[in-house]
Amino acid sequence: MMNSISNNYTEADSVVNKYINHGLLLVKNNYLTIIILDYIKKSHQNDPYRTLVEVIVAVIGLYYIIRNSKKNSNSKTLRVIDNLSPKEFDTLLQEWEPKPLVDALPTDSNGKYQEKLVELFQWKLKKQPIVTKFNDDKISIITNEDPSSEKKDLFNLSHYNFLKLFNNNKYKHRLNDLTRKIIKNCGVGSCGPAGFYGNEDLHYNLEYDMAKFLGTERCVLYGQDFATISSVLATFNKRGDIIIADKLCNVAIQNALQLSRATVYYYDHNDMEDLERYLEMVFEDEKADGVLHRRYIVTEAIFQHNGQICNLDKIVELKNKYKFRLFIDETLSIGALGNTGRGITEFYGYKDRSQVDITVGSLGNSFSVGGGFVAGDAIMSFFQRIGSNAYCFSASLPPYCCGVASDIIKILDSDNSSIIQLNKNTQLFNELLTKKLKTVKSHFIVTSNEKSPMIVLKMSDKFRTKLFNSSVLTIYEDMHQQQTKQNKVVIVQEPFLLEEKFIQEEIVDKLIDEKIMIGLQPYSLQHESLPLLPGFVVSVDANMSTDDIEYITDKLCLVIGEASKKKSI
Amino acid sequence: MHNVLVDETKAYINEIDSVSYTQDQVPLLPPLNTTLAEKRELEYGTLTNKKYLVRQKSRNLQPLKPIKFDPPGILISVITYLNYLIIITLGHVHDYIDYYFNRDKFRGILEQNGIAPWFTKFESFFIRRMKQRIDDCFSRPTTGVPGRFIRCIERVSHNMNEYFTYPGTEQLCLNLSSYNYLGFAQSEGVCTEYVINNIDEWSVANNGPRNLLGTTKLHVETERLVAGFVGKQDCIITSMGYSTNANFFNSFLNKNCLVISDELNHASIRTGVRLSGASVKPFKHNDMKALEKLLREQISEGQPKTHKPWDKILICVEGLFSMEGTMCNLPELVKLKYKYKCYLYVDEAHSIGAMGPTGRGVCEYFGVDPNDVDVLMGTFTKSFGAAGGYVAADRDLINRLRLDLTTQNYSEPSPTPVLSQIYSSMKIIMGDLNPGDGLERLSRITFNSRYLRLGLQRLGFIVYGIADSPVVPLLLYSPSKMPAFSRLMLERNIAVVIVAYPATPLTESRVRFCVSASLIKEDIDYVLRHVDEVGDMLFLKTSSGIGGGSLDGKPPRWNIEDVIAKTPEDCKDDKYFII
Repeated sequence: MMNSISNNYTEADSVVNKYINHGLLLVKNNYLTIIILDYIKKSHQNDPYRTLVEVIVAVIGLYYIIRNSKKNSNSKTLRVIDNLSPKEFDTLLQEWEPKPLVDALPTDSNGKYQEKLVELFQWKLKKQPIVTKFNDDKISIITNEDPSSEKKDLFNLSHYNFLKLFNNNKYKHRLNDLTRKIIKNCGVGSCGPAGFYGNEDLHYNLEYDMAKFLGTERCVLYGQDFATISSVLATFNKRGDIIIADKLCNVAIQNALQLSRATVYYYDHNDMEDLERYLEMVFEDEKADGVLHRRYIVTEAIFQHNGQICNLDKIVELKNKYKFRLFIDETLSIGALGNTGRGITEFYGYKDRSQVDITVGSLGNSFSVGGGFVAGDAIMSFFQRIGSNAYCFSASLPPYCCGVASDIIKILDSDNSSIIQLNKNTQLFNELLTKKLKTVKSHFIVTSNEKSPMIVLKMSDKFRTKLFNSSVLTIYEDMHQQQTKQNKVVIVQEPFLLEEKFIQEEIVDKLIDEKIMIGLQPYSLQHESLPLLPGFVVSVDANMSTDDIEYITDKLCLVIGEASKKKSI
Repeated sequence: MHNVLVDETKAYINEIDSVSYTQDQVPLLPPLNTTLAEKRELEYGTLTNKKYLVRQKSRNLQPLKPIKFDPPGILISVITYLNYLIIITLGHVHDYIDYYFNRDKFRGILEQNGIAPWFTKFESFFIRRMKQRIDDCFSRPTTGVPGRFIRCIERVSHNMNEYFTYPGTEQLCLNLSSYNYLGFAQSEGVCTEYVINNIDEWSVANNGPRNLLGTTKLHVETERLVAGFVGKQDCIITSMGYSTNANFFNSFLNKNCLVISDELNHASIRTGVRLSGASVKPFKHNDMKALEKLLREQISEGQPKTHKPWDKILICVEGLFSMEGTMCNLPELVKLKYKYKCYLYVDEAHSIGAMGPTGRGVCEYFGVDPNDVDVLMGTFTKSFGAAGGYVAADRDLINRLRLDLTTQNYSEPSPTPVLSQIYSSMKIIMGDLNPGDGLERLSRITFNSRYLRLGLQRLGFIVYGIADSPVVPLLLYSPSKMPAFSRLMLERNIAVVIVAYPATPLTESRVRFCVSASLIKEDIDYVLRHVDEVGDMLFLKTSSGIGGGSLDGKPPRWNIEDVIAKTPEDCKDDKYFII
């Protein structure tokens, strides 16, 4: 037995020896080994120091590798979880109390509910109007507060659809028939992203039509106006690029600035001197650095917050002087500004859009079908189609939206009577409103430009101090504190809700009794990173008659006058 | 007066039909000259035999087995990398030559008048030298309904896809490209009638953001219906699916929160989370062990630097992954969620309507109570043939979001036709409208998905995904096989979608078949025959059998006739699939 085992050992030994010898021979006789050995020999003969240097380099290299691997293993042991026993982890887990996913009700910064806030919040939710019927220009609404009582046939002044072509007697049937016809031909949805069979002939043709309409080389369609801006700005910006934006830009732009990762400077609202100061600063900085970054001026045509119109002439002059690109958000102004609805450039008398590098507009407001678009030069459009997330990763617009929008462009091209009418109405409305507001000693001020069809009214600061014991400064400070705390989730809405409630009860509700529907400006307070104040919107549209405007301004001023007389609440 | 207007309108509409076009623009094509019956057949094929229906079964909380991805083999991997190497090298050589001898071509990516280019030479390299070479396989213009057949507008590529011309002809292709899972992309039938009727009653035009005065009774009714359908208390409908995700997370997450996200999550989720400022930690696709490890690590570690505990941890997954055809392992996720006090967010963009015995999505498919998932998000673009998306959750939460969400306050609302399409198609799936139709659609898509998947696996292709998923990705690996496959399929009148980096890992280029309920068994036969032929030409049959298609573990290489003869029956049996 023993013998056989030892026999086996010797046998195995000899086999191993044989293989080792064989292996050594292989190594010795290997062509590669011979070359290497030869090389070492020769280099040693020629330059003995070189061998020394090479050995030292090899040793240092090895040392580095070992040190780094040690470091890595050290950092792994630093993790807390490795030092915890399962039991300890369980207690840790038990002690951890995550916050609720969404605070169902507004809380203060300590996480406590304030009864008054909760009440206000629920009131605001219930006050949301729901349209029950469209009757030409009139609408009927109910609210969740009182679903049984329907307020019928109100003048609709709470929208961004300034042209109201779908209610225009001349085009109503044409547009509705076209919608029906396209749905009968193409169905409703497009069932695919633009890159994969989602873009139909109607999409392409709207892109051609829109580019021709605006006077740009190309145009790209998006599924929603709000998502367009953040997607396109993020495509053409990365770290190091520079954006100079207006302080009062809307939330879509603010989101875009956040996503773009660029360096952002804010200039005072519509203050061209301030803008120039920043432009000069950036221009000089870049010159000194010697690196050329993409630089943009970002502004809105009609500002959503206050209805002001940007000073395009000056901006274009500055942009050319300091070599910046210009980005304009025309969400509200396409179809509403200019003699044929071509937006801010036409309003300022430019022949085409060559001065505006990126135009973002909405098909959801004056075109009132839905969707957004970006117009600009061919190269930008080409890169956008692969780089822009909202274009690549989402389904394209329903085909009927495109067909109808194309037709609306044709209407605007051939017959601009509705825009002329809109401009006339805007002028008349503004004239009457300012005149009548003076007579009633109004504490509400029109903040919008007199050419803007969206009229925004906000409370005067004197009145605010009297009624709510707060002023612009205290509100800004309050918001600023909350925003610096980054407690986005538990933001207190107090500076707003009381004031909004006042406007709602004293103005909006009373106007509803007079058969006029106006709306509070909608806000997502916690997403606004810039100061703002509550107000209400009165939208002028092309279908109003002079009598309507007389009646509406009369009632509006009457109600505002009443509200302005309030001493306290 | 009124009559005159109507006549003018008609004349105008006729005029649009005969509009002339230039060759370098996509022409507007007139509707097909067919009878109503033919049109219906083109949009939604009539079922040829009752045999070709399969009801999906609920898994009754049984979790998924770990997925086995078939490895491509060393030869394929080497070829793929070599392929990229050649393309990139050639691209740089081209760039070099063009830069010195053909500067005109470079105008767009060089500095001009002191203004930096939109994209630099480096940033645009992938687009110019790789994507543009196969641009003819993307963005093919179509017309009409993307139903069973899709009408592709023919185009001629010039100068390496620099521009296209359009001769004005069209090609009728079998549609395996649209997300028309339940076949609701129709221009005839109950849904369309409902939509048309609602247009007469409600204005097509929208009326500003939801919180201004954009909410109509239709919105309220549709939201109620959707909430009931997915099994949640309330929901919010938005007008775009991408935007639903991209503008959702910033309403309740901040930098003290952690999002644990599947590595293959959709770009919209990534955008949304980035906007919220929350920390993000990815985990390996569908790897529940890795997820648990990560959770334990993060809970014990807390926030970086301060080591304070996280405010909340949200696990983000997709119900059905659009590029893989795999599903999230919901029962396991729910267990982990409760064990580690996290919140669970499931994006059902592809699964709602298509998965589950009655189309109610992943929760129903796994037999999980929808209340165990905190937020269910989905889109209407896919199964319902409409547009937009929804977020469904508890009533308190939704009420809070109604005032907070940016999309509610600033973007346009869903228009009437879209809402009507959602309402009517959902009613059909629920069986309230046109009884029997919804069930047939659900059974047809399940049969079609199973048949196509098992058929391809048996032929020897590497196919990802679980049995019932309507997304059937076939792996091509090598980037140059993508355009070859797409062009060869188009020659055979089949429209398919090819996807590559950045939507997939660099080496896993694939073709994605999107199965629809509107296809009939004979259509799938046709597809299988042609894919079989093309697969031989392109050397695609490389599966080893561990990913499915063979019971004995040997590489399956069935004959096409055997596949078509046996698979329609076999595909009803779970034992042939790895699930």
